[in-house]
Amino acid sequence: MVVGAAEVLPRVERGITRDSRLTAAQRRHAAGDRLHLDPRPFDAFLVRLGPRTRYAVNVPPGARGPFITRGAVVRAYAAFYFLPAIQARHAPRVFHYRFP
Amino acid sequence: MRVAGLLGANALIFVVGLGLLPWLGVARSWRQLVARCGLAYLCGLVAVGILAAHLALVHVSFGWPALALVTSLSAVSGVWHLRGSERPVWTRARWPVLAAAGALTALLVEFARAFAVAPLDRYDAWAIWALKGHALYAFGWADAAVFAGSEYRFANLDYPLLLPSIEALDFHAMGAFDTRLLHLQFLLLLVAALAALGTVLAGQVRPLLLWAVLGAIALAPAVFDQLLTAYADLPLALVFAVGVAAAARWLLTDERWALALATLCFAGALLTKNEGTLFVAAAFLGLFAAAYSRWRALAVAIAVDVALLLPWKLYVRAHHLSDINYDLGDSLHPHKLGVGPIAFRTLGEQMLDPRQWSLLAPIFLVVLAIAALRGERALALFAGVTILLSWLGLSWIYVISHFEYSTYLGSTKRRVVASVVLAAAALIPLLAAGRRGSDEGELLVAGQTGHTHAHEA
Repeated sequence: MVVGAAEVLPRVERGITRDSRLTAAQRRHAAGDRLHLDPRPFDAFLVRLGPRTRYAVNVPPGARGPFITRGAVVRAYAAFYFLPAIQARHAPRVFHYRFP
Repeated sequence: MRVAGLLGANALIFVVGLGLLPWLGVARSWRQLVARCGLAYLCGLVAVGILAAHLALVHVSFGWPALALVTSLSAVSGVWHLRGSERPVWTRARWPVLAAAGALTALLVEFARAFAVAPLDRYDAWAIWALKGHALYAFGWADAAVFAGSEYRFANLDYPLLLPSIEALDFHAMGAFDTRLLHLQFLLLLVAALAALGTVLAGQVRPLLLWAVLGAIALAPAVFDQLLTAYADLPLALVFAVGVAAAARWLLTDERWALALATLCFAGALLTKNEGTLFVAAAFLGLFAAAYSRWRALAVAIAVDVALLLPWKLYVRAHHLSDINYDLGDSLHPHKLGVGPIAFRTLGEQMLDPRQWSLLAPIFLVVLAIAALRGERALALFAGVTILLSWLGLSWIYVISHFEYSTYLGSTKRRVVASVVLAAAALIPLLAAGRRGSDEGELLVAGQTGHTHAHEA
């Protein structure tokens, strides 16, 4: 217990200090920020979507990461961020994302 | 207001669990219900999770109305079950127990401050679990457009839906897709598991030892870190650990309720993550090795777990969903066999790392050896087989993985061992406590006596 307490209690305090300062916008974009994705295209496209609206994603493959490409990461993040809109391979509305 | 919704839903889940305890045989009187109410919250969470996950497959949303209905049914049926039974006898708690409970509560309240402000920013948390929870909340069921959609294959679509279903219920309860307060549900899972573990082991081990292990689990850095990520590995580990402790109690005492509880927890593990199948299979093999003469009871438990997993497996088969991470067909690939020992060693190092798991794994090894030397064959055999097979099975996943093994191992090694370490930790009090019975036959005799006492209590 002593070993655990010495290790975990400072982590708890650090976590509270760090995370309690996050704004609503920072919290909303936290996952994308961690992946170094530009939040502006996501927010701009989000306003065009409603529940169950179908959309496609146009993004270059980008660099290959440990498991998937950067392009695949963008597709995954879009799927999460745009829910309850539904990502499809082809759709009239297309989300375009380009890497800087 | 959202916090009130979240806590309100969890209060109802606790009541669901209370009503379930008589059906599981855990409480045969009001007195036992009070004594074992620590099991109610986890039983409620697992039962509601399983029910909501299955209903999601048949187009039924699980929000406030469904939760209220299930709570009412469970509570009324539980009261009916216990009608006319012995009333509880109130006794004053001893101060060491109050002090330990107070310290643990204070720690969890401190944790709550961190969980209440954490962002949802870890890949698997949003790409797999919260995405599915949000989809269940938004669509009301496991809509194939997402849950079987080719564009969503990255989300491990073959993973079962217990955790997303609980998340969806939380969103319903909060009235919003709140990714911040969602973290509190993960802390509440820890509360439920600690209460359940304490109740399962109560009366079998010394209170001091029990509270020390509960405190060590709560204070293990990996428990805090991993719960905060909102991944499914720690919830799986907590549910599985309680199941293993209940199975060990059944092994020692032959109390039927303990096996019923283990069966429910194992069903929860099976429906939390695919790795749950590996761990539950290891636990049942351990039980068969240690208590082969009680195979009929074990066969019934397995049949119940298979039946509870079946609807999800049918959905997976119907939608042609497959695992994107590994393929069992690669088990004998000649070029990859060398990965097994490397993974086995690496995962072992993770389990022994005091900066992650404190000293839980080394203490388990010591008490396991002592129990074996003391002649407590059944318990030592169950513990050894369950832990070793789980560890070996996890190592094998890296052999059959589609990914480059060192990258895959490097990114997952910390969290996949959670179920192994916490199951081992849950067994520490029983292994350390020492029992008179030295083989299965003697244990059964002792168990039958204990069973009688349990009914009389």
